[in-house]
Amino acid sequence: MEYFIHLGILVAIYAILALSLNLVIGYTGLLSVTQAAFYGIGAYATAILITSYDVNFFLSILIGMAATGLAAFIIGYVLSRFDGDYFALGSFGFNIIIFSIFMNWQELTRGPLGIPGIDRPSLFGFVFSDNTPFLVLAALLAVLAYFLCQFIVHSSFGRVLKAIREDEKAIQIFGYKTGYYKLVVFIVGAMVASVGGSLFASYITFIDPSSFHLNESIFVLAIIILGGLANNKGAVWGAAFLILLPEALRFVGFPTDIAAQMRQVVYGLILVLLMLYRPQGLMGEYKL
Amino acid sequence: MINSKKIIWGVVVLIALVAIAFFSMKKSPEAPDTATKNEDTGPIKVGVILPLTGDGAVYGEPARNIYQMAVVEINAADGVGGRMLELVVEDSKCTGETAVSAAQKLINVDKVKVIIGGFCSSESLAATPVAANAKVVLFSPGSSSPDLTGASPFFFRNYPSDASQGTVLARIAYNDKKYKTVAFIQEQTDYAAGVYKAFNEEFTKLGGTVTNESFPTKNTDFRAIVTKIKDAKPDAVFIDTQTPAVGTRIMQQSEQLQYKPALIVNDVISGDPDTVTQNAEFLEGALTAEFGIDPQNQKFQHLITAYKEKYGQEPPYQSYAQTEYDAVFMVRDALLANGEDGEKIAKWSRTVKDWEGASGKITILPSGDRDGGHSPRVIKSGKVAPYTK
Repeated sequence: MEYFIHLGILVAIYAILALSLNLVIGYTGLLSVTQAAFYGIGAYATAILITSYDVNFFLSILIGMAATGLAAFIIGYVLSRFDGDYFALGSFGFNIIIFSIFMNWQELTRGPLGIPGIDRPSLFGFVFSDNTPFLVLAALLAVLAYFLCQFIVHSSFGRVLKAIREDEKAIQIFGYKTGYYKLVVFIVGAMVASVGGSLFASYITFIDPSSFHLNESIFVLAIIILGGLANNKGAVWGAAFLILLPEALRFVGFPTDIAAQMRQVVYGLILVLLMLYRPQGLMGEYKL
Repeated sequence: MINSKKIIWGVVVLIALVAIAFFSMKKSPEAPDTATKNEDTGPIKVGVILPLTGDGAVYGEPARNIYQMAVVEINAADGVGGRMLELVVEDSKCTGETAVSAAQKLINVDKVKVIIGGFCSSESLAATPVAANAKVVLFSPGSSSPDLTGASPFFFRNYPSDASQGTVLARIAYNDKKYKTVAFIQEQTDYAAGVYKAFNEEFTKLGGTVTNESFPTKNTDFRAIVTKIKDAKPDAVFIDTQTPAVGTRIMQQSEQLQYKPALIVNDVISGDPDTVTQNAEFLEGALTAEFGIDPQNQKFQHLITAYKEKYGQEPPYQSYAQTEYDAVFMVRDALLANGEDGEKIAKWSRTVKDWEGASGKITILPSGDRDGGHSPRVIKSGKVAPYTK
């Protein structure tokens, strides 16, 4: 069972990431590939606060969200001057910058050595050291993130986001300052991703920069494209699918010599086939 | 929407498949009573975690070959008291997250009591708490991060910590060579950073100053770094790279810039005979520490010839090859002495003393580290020689 609980926790963490990115890409149409940076800021905030300052995990989530929000404000402010493909390239650059900071600000992040020995969360004397209560916590936060995203997209604010995605010029004519909307959703998305990072750091108990590489941003992008853009349920299902698929492939009896490589090949092949036959994703409402 | 429902069913079926695989694998080894007998004669499963895809695969591939070779040798010689050893190999991509998934799978699905791995320090650091919680032994033949020292009673390693080489070199550099300032050229990897950290701590404590120019792994042009260091005129330069090829590049570019400082190099550079001979002139008199290979060691000779016979070439990264080879035999001895009991094996590991292997005599300290490890060396006319004052 432990193995399933472990997978469940990973699914919850990636569901939070996917939901957060879906707000930005799916609903607003901003092709951002910098989500791993925000995920990383949350993770590092929790890791540093817990190991060096003995801060409570739940407080560290809030501080991480604040730090991520600030970073997202600066990045989003710059990115708000970009459009379409240029936005994607700009966000690409920011992921690399933040990754380099994780790698090089050694006094704070210990660079490539990473930060080991991050404690599990505790609340009123109860420590989430077992995986089962941790799964409950992670799932709870994922559900919270889900309802937050649902609330946002069904609000009047969310309708403006979708309008920006469909035709930004048109909605500007109605007097909406679209730059402001784009910036706010970018920051909110980043702050939600940061919660995923905090969970990740305290679950794995060790982080290093390699977990927050550009590849991770692309992985989250793959989750929401596969799950279906502009659909929060799709983001959750996409996360479940992309986390469970490679694990399921561990049980396919490939010969040991090529098993690891074959798993990667089959994994890639399944993704290609899915995109070929279902380009809108599992339950998508919008195509890039 | 009908279609999306189908997809949901697809995901559900996928989960169900994992579940079925999980339970069928779980049942077979412990299918009641009749199987207890079976357990005493059936193969003993040992988990293996190593990077088989991604950047770390260059280390993982030869490691897997060596493990398999060692298991064949053990099984040909009566296995573990008559029972065969069986490896369950899981890819961990050199990342902590995947290593945790792999460890969870090995512990909960395959029910192993011993895992050989991880290879990368990030894998071992992340998998250690998982193994400790399940009272499973994690035995690494390749992770050298100083953070792993004393990480858990269930973790030990037969590869020495990077701290040992950094500390050894710092003492000699300060006390014997009288260097006061050392400039590092450090690749941004956990190994190289570990060496730097240990050296910096010891050297600064002694009273010296260390500066560090670190560079990302894909860097190929070091002229700017070298020029900067040349202007700063440190007493010595420490070349601290992850691979010998990068070290060679730095040395060649320094030569082009006509900068030939007193050198200290890490064991990656001195551990590669080709690099040392090709750069003999530049490296003359360079200080280094080695957890080297001993070509006179009979077990080591056997490992090299057997590998060559089976895979058509000598094993790469031989300082890892020897500890990997030893690890499998140590696991056999651990199982012989303690049976399949993680707690007993963990305690046993701390009693290992002068265990004779391809990598020399292995003694495990109470912290789980290998005793000794690096010894100081100096490079003279293209050869690595023992250091004398």
